[in-house]
Amino acid sequence: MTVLKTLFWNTYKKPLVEEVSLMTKETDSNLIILIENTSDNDYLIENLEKYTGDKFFLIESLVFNKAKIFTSINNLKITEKFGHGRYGIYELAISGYKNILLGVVHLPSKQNWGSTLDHFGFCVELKSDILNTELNSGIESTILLGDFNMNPFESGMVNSGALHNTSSREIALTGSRNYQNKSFKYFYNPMWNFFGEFSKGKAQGTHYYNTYSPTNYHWNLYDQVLLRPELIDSFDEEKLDILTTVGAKKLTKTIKGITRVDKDISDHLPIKFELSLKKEIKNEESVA
Amino acid sequence: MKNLWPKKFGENHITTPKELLTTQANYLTESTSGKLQGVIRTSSISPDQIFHSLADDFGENCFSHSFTVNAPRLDYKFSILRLVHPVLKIYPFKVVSSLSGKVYDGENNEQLEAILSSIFSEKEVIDALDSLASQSTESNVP
Repeated sequence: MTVLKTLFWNTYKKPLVEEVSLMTKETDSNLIILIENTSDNDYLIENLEKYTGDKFFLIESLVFNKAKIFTSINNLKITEKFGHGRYGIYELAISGYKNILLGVVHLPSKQNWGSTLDHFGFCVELKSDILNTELNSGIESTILLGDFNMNPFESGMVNSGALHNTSSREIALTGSRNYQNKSFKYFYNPMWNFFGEFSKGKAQGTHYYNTYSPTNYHWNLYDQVLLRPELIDSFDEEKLDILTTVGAKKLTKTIKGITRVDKDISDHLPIKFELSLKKEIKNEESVA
Repeated sequence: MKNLWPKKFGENHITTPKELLTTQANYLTESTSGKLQGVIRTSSISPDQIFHSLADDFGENCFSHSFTVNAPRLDYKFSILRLVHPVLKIYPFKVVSSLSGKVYDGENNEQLEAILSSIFSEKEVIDALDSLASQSTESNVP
């Protein structure tokens, strides 16, 4: 069985080479996706090998260059199929296993895009390009990962015209929802489980922002992984986590009794998850 | 009963933004001998279903034309731009460059030509097209 042990982190325009390398070792990750990472790629690869003993290689980008993707799975072929300034859609292939699509997203922050409608409009475009790539490739097993700069409950994530995510496995497993004579496919979003004081994990979000405005969530779940229903049974819910430490170093800090993300390291917390690839079953020819 | 319509419609054809985009898409296809193919996809954006930010600026149903470049030998596509205008009016329109994220406003074809020229000259676009065209000519294309 091949398991994609994935680590995703927005490193806040910093290299964080030691942190990424140690975190990769601690989580036993074999697929690393970094946003806003400024490290020298060769130096990071050297360090990853030093920490983990595994040889990682960088996936070359064609058009989408906001993410760095490294993997140590040497027979994993990752090909960019669709490019945009803000997202890339990749096909992941390992011989003997069913191919999947991986979308990696980095939407602008709300400080740069003031209107939530901008994020919404963007998700409509993204959804359309995912559907077209699924149609062209014949692959419907799609995983969507990134820094959406939106919470799971915001319109761009929930609305049927956009990414149409649901917190419920049961609902997602119905496949799609009909609305006004059109069918809208679901994404299952396991990140909903991290909301609230007694929720899953050690943090209530991946991003903390204390804004002086009437609506203040404090904790935001901007970094998310979404799955098409076809991949739900391959996804290990227990392994999904928001990381709050690396080695002895905390990625959060507490000021006046309030815990928040420690921006001295990064303004986002990393997430990790595991997804098992399904074996490809070939039809055997019957012998007369 | 006599014809009550005040004029014959469509006699004085006005070049639409979509036609202009299609012309430019065809130029790309021709100039690269099909290694890169410009494709225009159109979708309608209805306010009851989608509150697209661009459509929202116009406050009515809109057409959204997406300019995608297809590199068939590489089995790869990327988005160059998206143009949105109201269904019942060709102008004004908004154009978003997919690679730089810049948003442009326009009110006539002359302005659209200037906007397209500006987007096509963006470094990100030129680099992407150069790279894809070169890779499409390699002998060991997958």
